[in-house]
Amino acid sequence: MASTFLSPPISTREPSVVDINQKSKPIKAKVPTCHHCHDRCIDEVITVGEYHFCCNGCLAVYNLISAHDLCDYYDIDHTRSRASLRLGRVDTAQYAVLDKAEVALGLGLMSRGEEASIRLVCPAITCASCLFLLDNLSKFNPAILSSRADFADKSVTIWFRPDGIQLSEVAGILAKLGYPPLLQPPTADSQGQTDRTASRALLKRLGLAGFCTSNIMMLSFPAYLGLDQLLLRQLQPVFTVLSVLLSIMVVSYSAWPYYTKTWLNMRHGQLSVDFPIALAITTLLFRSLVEVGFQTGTGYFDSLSGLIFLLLIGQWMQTRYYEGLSFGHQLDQFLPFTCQVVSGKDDYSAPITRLVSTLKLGELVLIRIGETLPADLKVISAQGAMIDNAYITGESDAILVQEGEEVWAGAKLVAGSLIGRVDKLPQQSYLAQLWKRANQSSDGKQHSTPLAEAFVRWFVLITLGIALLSAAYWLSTDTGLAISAFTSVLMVACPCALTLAMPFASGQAVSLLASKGLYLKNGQVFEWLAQLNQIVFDKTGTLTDMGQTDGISWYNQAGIKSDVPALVRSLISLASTANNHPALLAACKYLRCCGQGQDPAALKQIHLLHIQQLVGQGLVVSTDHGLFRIGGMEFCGGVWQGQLETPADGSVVVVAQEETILGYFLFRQPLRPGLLMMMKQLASAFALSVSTGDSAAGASVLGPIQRLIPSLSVLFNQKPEDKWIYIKKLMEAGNTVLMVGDGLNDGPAMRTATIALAVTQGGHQFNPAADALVSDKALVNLPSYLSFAKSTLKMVTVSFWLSLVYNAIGLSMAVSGHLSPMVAAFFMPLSSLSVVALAVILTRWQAKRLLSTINDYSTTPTN
Amino acid sequence: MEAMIILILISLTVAIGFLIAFLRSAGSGQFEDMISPAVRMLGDDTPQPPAQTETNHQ
Repeated sequence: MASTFLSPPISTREPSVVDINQKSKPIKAKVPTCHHCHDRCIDEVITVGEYHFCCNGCLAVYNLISAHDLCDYYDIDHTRSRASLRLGRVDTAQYAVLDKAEVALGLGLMSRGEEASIRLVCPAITCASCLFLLDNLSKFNPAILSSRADFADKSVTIWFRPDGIQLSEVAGILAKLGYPPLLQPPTADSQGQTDRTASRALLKRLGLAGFCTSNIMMLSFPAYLGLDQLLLRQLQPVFTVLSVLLSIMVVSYSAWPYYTKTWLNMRHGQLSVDFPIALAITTLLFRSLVEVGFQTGTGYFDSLSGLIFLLLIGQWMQTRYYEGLSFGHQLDQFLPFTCQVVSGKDDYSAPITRLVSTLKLGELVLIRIGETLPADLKVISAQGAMIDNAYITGESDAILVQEGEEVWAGAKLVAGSLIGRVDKLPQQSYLAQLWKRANQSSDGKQHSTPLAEAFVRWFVLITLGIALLSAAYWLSTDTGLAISAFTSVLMVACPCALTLAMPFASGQAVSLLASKGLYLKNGQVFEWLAQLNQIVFDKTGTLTDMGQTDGISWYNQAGIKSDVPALVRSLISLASTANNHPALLAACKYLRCCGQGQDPAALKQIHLLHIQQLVGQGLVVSTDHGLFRIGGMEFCGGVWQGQLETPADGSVVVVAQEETILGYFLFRQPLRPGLLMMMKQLASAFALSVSTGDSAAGASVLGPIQRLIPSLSVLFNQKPEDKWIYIKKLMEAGNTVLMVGDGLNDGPAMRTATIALAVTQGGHQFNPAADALVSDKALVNLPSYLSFAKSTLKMVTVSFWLSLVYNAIGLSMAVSGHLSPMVAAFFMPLSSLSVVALAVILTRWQAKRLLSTINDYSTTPTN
Repeated sequence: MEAMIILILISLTVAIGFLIAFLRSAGSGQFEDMISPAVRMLGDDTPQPPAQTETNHQ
């Protein structure tokens, strides 16, 4: 706090709508960029030499890094915003528990002789500079032997000497550098594990297919070129044997999944895109073997392996989505890793640190301010404890807890402290049930998109129809030709538009959208995005902005909005250093943003004597300027001359000196900037609804939206279950639903919706249910994203048509029964590649047309 | 023409050697983190004080 008063005042506040994922482009040259985190210095500027820093935390890290001669850190990646590195309060004390042997082992510490190694997950890793710094941890302490960061896993593995440095110190170093490690056990992440094995297997299949294709093509080349007949005749048998061997390798290893998947789908009575592929592969292989066996031809081995290679490339593209974000997560990661167990009701003095996983029913747990509840607790002693249930229920206000109440795991204690008896273990808690529900309902999610399904069904039917017809036509004249025509049709008809064009186009679109602030889990989500007709919003944290300070204003004794008087400014700054009451912190941030409280001369010199928090009422601050009360109307007492209009969507905090009321802060949760325009644009194309956990009175902030869009349906008092049922009903009515939410309270609903879009504040937040992530500041671009998805899918349809044209040409050759191997070998890959190229080019064109406006859009302050 | 056949067989053998190398590296996850090694390579070499650690832990 002290630094606030030293730094020069800045008067202008920046429009808060800035795409955090843009390369930092100074919008107003006046606002310097932080040398450390590359974020713009909005709250304050600290200038040291030629560099600017946005906060003391960044300055401290800079000093630490420069003291260890690692300033290369700043030369590697200049541009990318590392806002996630901004330090909150560094509390290295929390890592003390790591020095207990059982805790360290629980975290996965491996000891070997005098050395130990541990892998810690640091979600803040964002850029090349991070890797550089974390690879050089050994410079910070000689007992750290070496370290190695992994960008993909966002983890760092550290080898150190336990006799020279303790694990808590290692974690402390990481935290001080801005990479606080997550304290979580190394999860046996089965999902991640299978993903990993699957992607490795695909890569191996692709490699083998590529190898065989190139070799078979080499062996077929002499035949294409019609080299010396004599030469050819001598070598051909060898070439044929080699080709057969290579083809069998490809089909039995690389193409095998197509058979297993076809079989699986057939057993469920479904027709997947794997079926025509498996059919084409089988036909190609058998016909080639027969031709070679009866020495009637050279076979289609080159076409066969080329086809498989191309298909696998398409599949591989599909898995290459944006990797920097982590979507799937474990429940343990939301709960604390350790907790403080106490022996008696009033025993705040000697807590024992224990792993949460070893908690037993009936044990007493001490929760301090800022901590997350590890299990469902029955409160037996509470001292001004206020908990924030936003993550579980979606209620935006912190609530006061009394003795005897039950509180849920996952809630956060924002004020006071409490002792609770473990009522339900973490794994049986309400949070765990929500989590389970969230994951269960995901299984019901359809996995293939309607466009693909329709395409496959028609494709198979038409192909089989043409094949049978042409066979029937030739059957009367020539049986051999009939078989040849039948097999040729099956061979040449390739669903390449679906298996290649779609993955390439959606892969392209996913990465384009990621550069514009919307992160999709994979290409399939993109396909669904193009087919939405209903959007459901959560209110708190989604439509309203909890971090915004626009909503806070000061009213003086006469009830008139005005500047905050110096006395109150000093009081708030002073009190907030001693007490973490959420209202105080918000007021403090407001003062800083307005530049009020920056100027030391304007502050009254007051000294804190004592501060007392009265449960559920407010604060009593005694200073050398007398007694102040900060809190509700009744609490502050006194006679109110002015009119106190308490708007339904806000809360009021009154500041009183002795018996005189100085004025009050009005806290309001404002709508996000630009939101009205976004809703208006969306309303023209989608059915919109807002579902909120708040009551109708508390959600009156939605009024402007309702007035703007009469068709908007707003649901109040929605519990997580209600939201889930609502979405389920919409889905059952045949809608394609996009759910936009933030907390876990939306989890089940989000899992049920066709697409779940999670709005994240700050760099690294996870949501187990999300299919897509968007930063809070980029949310207003939603209409652009959706129209891009829509028009891109149209473009893909264009390339579908092109592929149909190709298929028609190929088929017209095939039905005649004369498909020369050479034509097949050139025609098939060429047609596939041109379809892919068309799809990709059209996607890029659409992006240029629709997404290029986003920069301007997001930087102009709207409303 | 035997020369041709022998040459082709040799080329195939060499190619299979590379294929096996690729399959092994893919299987051991060398292609999973495509970012860190590329970035690491560009950094300036700083002398690692305890030289023995590299050999012990890799």
